[in-house]
Amino acid sequence: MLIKLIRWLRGYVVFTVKGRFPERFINLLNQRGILYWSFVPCKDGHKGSMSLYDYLHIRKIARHSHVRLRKQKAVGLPFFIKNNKKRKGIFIGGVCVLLIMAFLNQFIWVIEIDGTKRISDVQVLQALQESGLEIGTYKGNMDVDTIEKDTILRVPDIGWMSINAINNIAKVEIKEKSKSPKISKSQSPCNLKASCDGVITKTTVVNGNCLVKRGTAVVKNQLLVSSVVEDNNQNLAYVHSQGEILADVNEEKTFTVNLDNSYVLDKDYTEKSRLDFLRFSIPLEFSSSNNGEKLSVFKRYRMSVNGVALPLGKTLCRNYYCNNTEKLSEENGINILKKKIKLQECFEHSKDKIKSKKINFTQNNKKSTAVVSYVINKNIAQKQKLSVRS
Amino acid sequence: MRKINKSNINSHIPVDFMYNLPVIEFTGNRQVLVEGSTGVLQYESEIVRINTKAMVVAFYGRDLTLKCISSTGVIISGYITKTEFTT
Repeated sequence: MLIKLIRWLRGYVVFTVKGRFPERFINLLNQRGILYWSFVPCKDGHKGSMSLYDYLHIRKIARHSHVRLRKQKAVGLPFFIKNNKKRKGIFIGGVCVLLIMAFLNQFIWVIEIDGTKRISDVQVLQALQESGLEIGTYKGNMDVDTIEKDTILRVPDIGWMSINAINNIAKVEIKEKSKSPKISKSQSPCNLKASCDGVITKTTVVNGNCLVKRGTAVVKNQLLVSSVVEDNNQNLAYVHSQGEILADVNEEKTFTVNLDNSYVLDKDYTEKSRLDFLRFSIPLEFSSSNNGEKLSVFKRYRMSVNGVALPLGKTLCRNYYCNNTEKLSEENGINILKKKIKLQECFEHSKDKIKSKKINFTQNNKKSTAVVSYVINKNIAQKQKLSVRS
Repeated sequence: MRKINKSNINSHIPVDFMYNLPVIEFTGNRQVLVEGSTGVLQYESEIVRINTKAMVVAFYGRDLTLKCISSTGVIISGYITKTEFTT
């Protein structure tokens, strides 16, 4: 590919060799060290390619070997320039493209963030923007050290970060601070009791005397880990019980949606798109604005060619107006209930394992109800301090 | 003057060096490398004749092309069907 490009830039000639001694012609070219390629026999002679400069200097060799050279095709930049000498617009356009590319090369087109787990990319992007790095920042004014320090101060969870401006891409590498394990400072004696009914599946006791084992069924407030421990000399001591008791627990949750209430419609919305170029945003449509409260959802699209992001993009803003409300149908009510169930699972049982789930939907009195029965595997150990009565 | 015993020399010096023989390396019947060539005598799509110091080597076949030529070596590619040595 590179060789082809160099050949094209230098310009080359495809020629035919006809005559009595084409072999001698080849030998003489080799002796003089003249480079040629694709030299193959063809009808009534041979065909090959050679750089423009060499082709202009082989007349003598051709005469010596009694062959006649015929130029068939001239390829490359020198010939293109020669053929289009009068078309000045092409050259002006080419120079303009080069100048624009050189100008745009001075700005950041894309910010890539790598290494975030707990911190959201949006948070980092916002901190970077406040520190002076955003899409469209002039690379000459970018003080990487200051931006790094400022961003670390703005986002306390960042332990280390590095910004590498490679061409038009700012690569931000982040190492998050590792969270220190929670160590209970309290050393006062306490028991661990069951927070709800369940069947024990796993016990991990760090401190204390475990009174249950795998398979034991426990009821709410049953003692799981006792704080009374006996040492080797059969002396009793009170300790701060610590541990994790996992158990399968049955839970039931009820969710309701009132079908009489009005809800914001998904289908009635207006869209506005904007053209993004570096940090500039140009509106593409001028639609009339609807009065009233609205909910706006933004979607950003970036143009890229072969995986290389360009500074051009499009932002689509979809406005849902709150005055266009409608009463819910049964189907929509069920959909809302399903979303509610998912949200509840995400937030309330993020650390627990849901073993099974059964959902019952019912409709009555303009209300849609979902009763969800779960079997959840969760930690049921609950600390209870010891009290001394006189 | 003492005569040189040729049989002793033969056992130590490589044959190709001793008699200026070309080194020919075939890759199936698709490609052949001739080391020690002094020039191309005939170049057609059915026959390529290469001159070496000790002999003339001719390759017969179909679609024969000179893939690469240097002052001491030639690579011929195509479908080689026959090789001929003329000393």
